[in-house]
Amino acid sequence: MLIHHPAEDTLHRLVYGEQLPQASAVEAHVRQCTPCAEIVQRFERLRRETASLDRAAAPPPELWQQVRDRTVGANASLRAATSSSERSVLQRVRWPLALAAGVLVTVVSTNRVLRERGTPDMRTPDTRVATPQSASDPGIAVLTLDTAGAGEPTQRLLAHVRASVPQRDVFVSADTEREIMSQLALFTDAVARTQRALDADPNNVQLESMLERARRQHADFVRSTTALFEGF
Amino acid sequence: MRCGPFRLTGTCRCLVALLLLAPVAGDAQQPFHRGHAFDQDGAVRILALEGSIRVIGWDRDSVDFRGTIADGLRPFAMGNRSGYKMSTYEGVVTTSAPSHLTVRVPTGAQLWIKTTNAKVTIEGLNGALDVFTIGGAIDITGSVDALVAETLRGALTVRGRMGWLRLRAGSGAVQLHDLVARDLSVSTVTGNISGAWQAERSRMESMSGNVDLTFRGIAGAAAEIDTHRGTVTVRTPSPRDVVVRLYSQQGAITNRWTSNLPRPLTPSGNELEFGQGFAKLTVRTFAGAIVLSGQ
Repeated sequence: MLIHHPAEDTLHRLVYGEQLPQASAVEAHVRQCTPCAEIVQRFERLRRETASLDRAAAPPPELWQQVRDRTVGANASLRAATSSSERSVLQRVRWPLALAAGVLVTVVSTNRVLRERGTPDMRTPDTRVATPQSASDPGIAVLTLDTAGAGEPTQRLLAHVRASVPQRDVFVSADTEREIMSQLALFTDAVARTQRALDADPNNVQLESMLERARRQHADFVRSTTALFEGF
Repeated sequence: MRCGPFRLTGTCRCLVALLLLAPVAGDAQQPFHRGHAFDQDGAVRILALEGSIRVIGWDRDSVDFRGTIADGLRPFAMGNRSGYKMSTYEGVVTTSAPSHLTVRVPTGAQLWIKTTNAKVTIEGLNGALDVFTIGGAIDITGSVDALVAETLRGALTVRGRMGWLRLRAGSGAVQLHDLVARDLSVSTVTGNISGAWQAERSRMESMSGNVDLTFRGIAGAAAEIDTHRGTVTVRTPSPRDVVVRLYSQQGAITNRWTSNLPRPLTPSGNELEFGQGFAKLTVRTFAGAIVLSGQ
């Protein structure tokens, strides 16, 4: 039996019947460990629910617009708030002085950075972890999508992803959010296309196998994406 | 106080002071160093956000963490001989705060890493690894016995002789650099899969990513490649050793290994089967083309 609790991902794989190097040890641990058994029960519920997503409908056309409106609207609010406060300051500070301050800031901060680190890291942050207070920051895209109007299966999938945003307030950049959305749509599209082809050729065992694979990948994606955002 | 033709008020002074301080505080780093006696097969758990984590296996009975952590983050490091946890942040954290760590652990350690965008590089380990990132690239070299690596947006690169591998990526590309494995599974959504590999049992699958691989068949090897609409290109140094089964519902099948031609099925699909070798290759796509390419 394992001394340590197995990683949640290991329990995920156990529930989904994947081969594990220490499967018997993990199973023995789960039998005697209440917290791990509860996690396994949660994953089994998830598996049951995703297994019923056989006829996953494509997201409605307006869904992406809703996501975009939400993101763009939030950024616009931030810009509006920023520009309004900037105007009040600029009424008192003349442009030449601001320009001089900007040059000074650039020179000082660059020197400091070069002295400390050699080269500055100019990469734009993607995923951000913020304090609960930052939840009101409209500049950060939170992984909560308005799914009103989406098909029920899509809503359930997104609910799983949303549920993965843990108590620790993990925020996801707009790019990552878009990526999750587009990848979910890709699975939905693949399942729908394969299903149509199978309907037209019902005895095609290859198509049947492809459909099963697409559904499994769909469920795996929800599972792994959910797990990725947990634990921070 | 006068500043040229303009009057510098108290508010202006505060503004300039804030402007001077803000970027400097955001980029500042604090040095970090922790070490601890450790078992050869102990479990190490690392959590990080931005930046980089480099893990190196060494032949010592200790763990060593050193590098820099962004000011504003409160690092956490604690453990005993059998388990050690290191986090570059604890509790309240700020946004976009990179940390750069080099970690040395016993070669047989069981390693678990999770980052948001920090790049993870691992070399010289032979235990069990679990690596997860949202956007950070993952690069693993060594003789790992069991590896699970998952990333949503980062690139995933693996090289060496390994045992059991499960690699998963969203849009990130997966590269297999002359990988030798016992049991290999690679799955992407839109990311491409490329490189060269040899395994007793392997399965590659992608939704729309292209697969471009060199298959080094060995006796008894079984390889399956599935995509929905990604193009699959496979090369092999020894086509005669491979039993090939190809199927595509809508994509074209091109065979440059032999003179065998694909045949259309009724009412739909194309397939091609040939070969009497000791290794088995199965490729299936829904809409992607399949190309058995020359060297």
